[in-house]
Amino acid sequence: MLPEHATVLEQLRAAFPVEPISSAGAFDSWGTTYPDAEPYAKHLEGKTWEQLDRSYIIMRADALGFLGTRQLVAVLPVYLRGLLEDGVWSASGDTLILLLTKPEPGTKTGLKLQRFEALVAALTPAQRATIAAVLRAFAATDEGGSLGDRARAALERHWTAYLPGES
Amino acid sequence: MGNVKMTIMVTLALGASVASADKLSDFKEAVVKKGCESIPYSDYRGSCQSNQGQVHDWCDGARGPVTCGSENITRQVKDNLEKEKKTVEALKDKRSKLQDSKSRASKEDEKNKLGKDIEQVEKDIYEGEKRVEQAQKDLETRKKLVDDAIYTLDKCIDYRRAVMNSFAAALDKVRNENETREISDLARQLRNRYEEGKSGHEEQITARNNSLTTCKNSRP
Repeated sequence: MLPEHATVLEQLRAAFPVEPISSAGAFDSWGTTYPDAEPYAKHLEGKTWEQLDRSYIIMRADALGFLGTRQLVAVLPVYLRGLLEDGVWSASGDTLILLLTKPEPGTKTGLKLQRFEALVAALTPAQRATIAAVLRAFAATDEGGSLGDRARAALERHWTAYLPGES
Repeated sequence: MGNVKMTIMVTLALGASVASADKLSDFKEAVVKKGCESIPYSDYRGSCQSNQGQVHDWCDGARGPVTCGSENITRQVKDNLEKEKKTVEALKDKRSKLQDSKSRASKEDEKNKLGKDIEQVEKDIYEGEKRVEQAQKDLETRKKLVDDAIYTLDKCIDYRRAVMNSFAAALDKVRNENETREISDLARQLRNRYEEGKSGHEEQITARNNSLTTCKNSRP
């Protein structure tokens, strides 16, 4: 991890509360067809995001496409931290960046617009700013790389507005 | 004759009723389950489960790498090889010039000095060639990782698509379930769930396709 990422990591820790996660109904809205719904929910139950089994949660990044909004916000810091710490080798990088890419009408990339908007609405201003900071920090580490380009596109399409000095 | 006909009709009616009860039971079970078990048809459920097992094998990293990092890594490895090759070439030029100077030198102490310089350059060439060899190995290692990841990701995507297709097939079938009102109601619940879950499956395939694109762009 680059030294400048430590500041973003501090921002991440401050923005996402360390509270026990309730996994009840985590997959009821969007994820009843997610084959790993039950084991993933068991892993979440009663743990704070910092207590989660990071390697399992990152390996099961496919859950992001199926989780309900409340649990999605609760686990998001694990994936954001993974992107900062593991950089381009993050096993969940592509899934996370896709999740954070605001869908354009009529496209099938990222979450459907309704889910994306629900996610944004559920985030606090500090959490939105943190997501923007993580995307920017990561994109800077992969200049000219396609994952970095996708992170930049996600940033420009929605999150830049939450960075200090931007509007 | 009339009795036989009646027996056949009763048997058929009973058979249909038992089949309908079995189906109702399967549907009741499916609506409270998640994942592949939310499919009430044993054939599609079985195919979903077996393909999901393969998804774990191929997408979780057990069968091979599922990320190539960045195209920049390939560029760096290639650039490093070129740089080391150029360094060796430059050293060889330098040696050649020193050898030329030595052959033209008339004074003994000058020849000795040039001889020592040549010896040092030859040591540098030896070290440089070792670095070229290492850089070539690094490039081969990078190529192998990229090729392995492309193979693994292709398989991962195929099996993910197969899981999604099991739900798509089940969706087509539940759309036409209307034998009884109860089955029809349960089928509608399942249909809604399959439709809501579709984007989650698509996103995973898109994410893996993005990883695959990175890998393809990372070929040395």
